[in-house]
Amino acid sequence: MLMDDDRISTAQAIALAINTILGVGLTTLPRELTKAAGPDCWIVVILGGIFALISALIIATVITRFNGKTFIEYTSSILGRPVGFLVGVLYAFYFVLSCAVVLRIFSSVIKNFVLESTPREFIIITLLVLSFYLIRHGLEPMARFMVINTPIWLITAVAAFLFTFNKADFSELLPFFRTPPDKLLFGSLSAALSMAGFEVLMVAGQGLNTTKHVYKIALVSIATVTASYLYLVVFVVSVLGVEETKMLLWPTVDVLRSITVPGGILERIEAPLITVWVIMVFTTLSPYYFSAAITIANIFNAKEFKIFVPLLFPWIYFLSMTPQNVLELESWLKFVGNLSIGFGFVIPFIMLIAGSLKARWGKSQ
Amino acid sequence: MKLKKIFLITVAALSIFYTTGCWDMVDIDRRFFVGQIGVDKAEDGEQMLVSFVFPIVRKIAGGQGGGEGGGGGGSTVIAVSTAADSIHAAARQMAMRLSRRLFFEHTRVILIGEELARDGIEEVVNFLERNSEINRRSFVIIVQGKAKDLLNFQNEIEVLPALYIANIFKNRDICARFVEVDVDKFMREIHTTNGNVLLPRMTLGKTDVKISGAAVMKKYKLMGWLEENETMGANFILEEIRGADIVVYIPGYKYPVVFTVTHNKAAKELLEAGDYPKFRVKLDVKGEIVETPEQIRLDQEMLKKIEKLLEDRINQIVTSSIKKLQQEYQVDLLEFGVYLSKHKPEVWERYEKDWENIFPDAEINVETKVTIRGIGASY
Repeated sequence: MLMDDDRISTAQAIALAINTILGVGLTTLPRELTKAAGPDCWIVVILGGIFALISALIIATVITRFNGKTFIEYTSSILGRPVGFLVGVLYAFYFVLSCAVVLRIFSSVIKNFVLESTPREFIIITLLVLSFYLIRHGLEPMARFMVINTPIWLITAVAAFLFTFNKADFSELLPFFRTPPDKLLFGSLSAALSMAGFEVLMVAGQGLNTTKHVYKIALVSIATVTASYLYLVVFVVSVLGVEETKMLLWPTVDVLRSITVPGGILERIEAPLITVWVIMVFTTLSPYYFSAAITIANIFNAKEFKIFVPLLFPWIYFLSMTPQNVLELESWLKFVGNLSIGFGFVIPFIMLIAGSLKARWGKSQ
Repeated sequence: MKLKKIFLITVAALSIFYTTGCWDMVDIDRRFFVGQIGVDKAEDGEQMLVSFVFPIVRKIAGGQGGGEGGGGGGSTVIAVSTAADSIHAAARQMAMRLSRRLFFEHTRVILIGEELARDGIEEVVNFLERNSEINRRSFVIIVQGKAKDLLNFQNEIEVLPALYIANIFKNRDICARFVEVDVDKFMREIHTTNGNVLLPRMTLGKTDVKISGAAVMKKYKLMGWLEENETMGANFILEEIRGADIVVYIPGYKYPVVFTVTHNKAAKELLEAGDYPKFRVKLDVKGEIVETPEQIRLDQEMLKKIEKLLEDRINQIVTSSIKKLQQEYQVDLLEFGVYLSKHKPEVWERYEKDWENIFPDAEINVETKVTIRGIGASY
């Protein structure tokens, strides 16, 4: 359970949601979307944003009904104690698995482009320790970090891609609407999956100052994420071309590698850009880690969640070391993506219906 | 209290590990920054002959103030070659012969020998794509002859030959007789068209090199060359002209009129889509006159006449380039297929499978409109 003064404001919650969602997906998203929908990838982002918004609004509605309870308490109250317990365990598992996958993708990119001979274990442990340090202080300090961090990556990313403008050929996004509807829908789903992360607020919702503005949080954060993804996908695909984007493992990084600041002042500025991306990964990892710890604390009705943070550490580490190579990691990523449909949409939806029924039933009694 | 002390001592002791610096650190004086990579077919016909050129930093830095001086010190670069099964294997074989490590982060030029290019360059493409170290802005060039011979040409103009070659590409804003392709563009085009791409051609002079014309790559294999004018024609259609000179003769005068292109627009249009497509390419060329025969004075009438001559000349250049690609090489390097796939997707669906055989018989009409925007400082 959170300390009484560990509360976050609406603005902090927005920053938390955005920073949670944007992270490792940035490097691979253009490839997935061009594979799914070719030149129509940007349409897919918008459709995916709509899907993500719907599920975020469902989560937001559930949060407004918490009434000072924690997520587990609320679930128990509407679905019964055993179900509440089970849901809690599943969510904790999902968050831990997400942490592991995030860490593993992060280490793959870093190993491939920056620190080639540094052991993977070292890369993973350093980031995990840092995250460990941040979240032990609670929800509010973490959210504060997100607020400070947001302008840093936002400005850097917008500026960096502008430098690719002379290389971008926007006609790569032609022809419009030639993708069959089923592929378009499937692509939107995978775009929506990369916008997973809002479910963190399900468990962090207990730390909100007020639940009045939850819908605003959902709307602003998903809109910002959609806009960022749109910007990213349009630039990456116009610079690399559709076919090339499909072939590269991390197309975004390859675009960053070809950025030159005009006038030949700076060449090869990918190192600082990747640094910014590292911070973004960090801000994705921490909320997941935090959510896992707080969910378990809630299950046990513990007063303090801090003791669960070190307990989770080895599990996250071992899970992240399990995939043997990038291709196996990809299938893990798909698995976690599919799980996020369950945890970001299906379970909140059931809770929404159950909550409504219970409220009506309670009234008629 | 005691616990805290022990904790602090442990942290201090551990700091030995995390203050040593980067795990991957290779000091700058342990690195060779490869400027050029040359890939040829080896003598035995099976392996690759891979060459690397890198500067000797001591000699470049010693140019000013240093005791040795740069001028008389001989070559500023070293070229090494080895036969190997692959480019990466070659770089690793070098480890047995070189005191420092090879680094590709600042590579400027990738040279591919003619013989290897005729056999296919899939391996080079794969290396460039999979390698995460190579500079994606380095230029890809096909060498007429052996890439190895080109690696240690010497002259006094630039300190580094890699810079010399890379800087030639900067002259594309005044000369359109060659194409410019960096790794980024190379990858993009070769994957979009499945191995068809125009690459710059390079030849060796006595003390210099020349980049002129283009190499025609079809399905990853070198088919032949486009000469300088033909390359210019292709550049007109690809809208790749940033500056080009067109020479026309007015009947009755010995000295030509020289026209510099400053703006170039090419609009492709599909007229008919029967068994074979019919295209119209509208070229909108703007520029200025830089030289005329001394005897003539320019007036509106004369300009009209010159514009007409220029239009005919450009038409002729462009058409000959199209003809060569259609008839001799039978490969669409002028992005007609790309145009169809982007703007006429329903037509493209019909042609896509057999485009290779359809393109050579496509009818392409070129219409040029020249506008003279400037005539220099005299009339």
